[in-house]
Amino acid sequence: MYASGPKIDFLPLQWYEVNRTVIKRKTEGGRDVSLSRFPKTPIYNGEVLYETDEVIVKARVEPCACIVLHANDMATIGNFCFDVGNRHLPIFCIDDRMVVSYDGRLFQALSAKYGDKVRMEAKRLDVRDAIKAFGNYL
Amino acid sequence: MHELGIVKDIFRTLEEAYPDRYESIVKINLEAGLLSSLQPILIQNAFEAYVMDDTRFKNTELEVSILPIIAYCKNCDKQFEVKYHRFVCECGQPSDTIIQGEELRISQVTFQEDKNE
Repeated sequence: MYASGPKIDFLPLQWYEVNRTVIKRKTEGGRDVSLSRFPKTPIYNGEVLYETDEVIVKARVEPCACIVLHANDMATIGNFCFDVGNRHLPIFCIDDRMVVSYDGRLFQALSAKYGDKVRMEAKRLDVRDAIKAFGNYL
Repeated sequence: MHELGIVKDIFRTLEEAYPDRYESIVKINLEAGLLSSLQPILIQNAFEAYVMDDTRFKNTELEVSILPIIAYCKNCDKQFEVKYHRFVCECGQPSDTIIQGEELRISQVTFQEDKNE
């Protein structure tokens, strides 16, 4: 009998790891976890990966540095999404803003075109916020 | 944009380096700098596509680590981490002398029968 319920443990993941089919690493609580996902579906933040009476292991997608577009006009939003999509990168819609993972060269290109409408912010890129053209692949 | 080619190059490099143990690789660690123009999601997805095709490696892991941008400040004669794309030392001096951030490298390979190489 577990009066306080099962212990919650977290498996830390980077946002770009959610499509991985094989993951072997330790949870924050020090448990060894080995995941094999066939057929694969992206792991979302908070997803229960393992559950017993004693423990529940959930995925935790870590926040990362992101490029965020602060614009409300459709032309700018559309152009931004085209520019990012043209590089085959996933775009996320978080708090009504377009968000893409930071890399230096991408930021230089986007800030040169969109000026101070693009800003750097820490965000959690969860697959459920991804804008997808097809399927469930991130 | 050519991530599948990069993944193929990685496997080709490992095959040349370890011809006898190549097929027993269970984990590849990559390091990618934030100025390498390489988004880890694209490498990770290309890797998954590659191992789906070459099933010898279907249980092989790829783990990508991001290397932060490190720049050098001549004024302070020391290195500093570029955060939020701000290439300015804490002393206020801007710098475009990059020490780290443009790399893409295999940092570790693990084989089935033993550990780190």
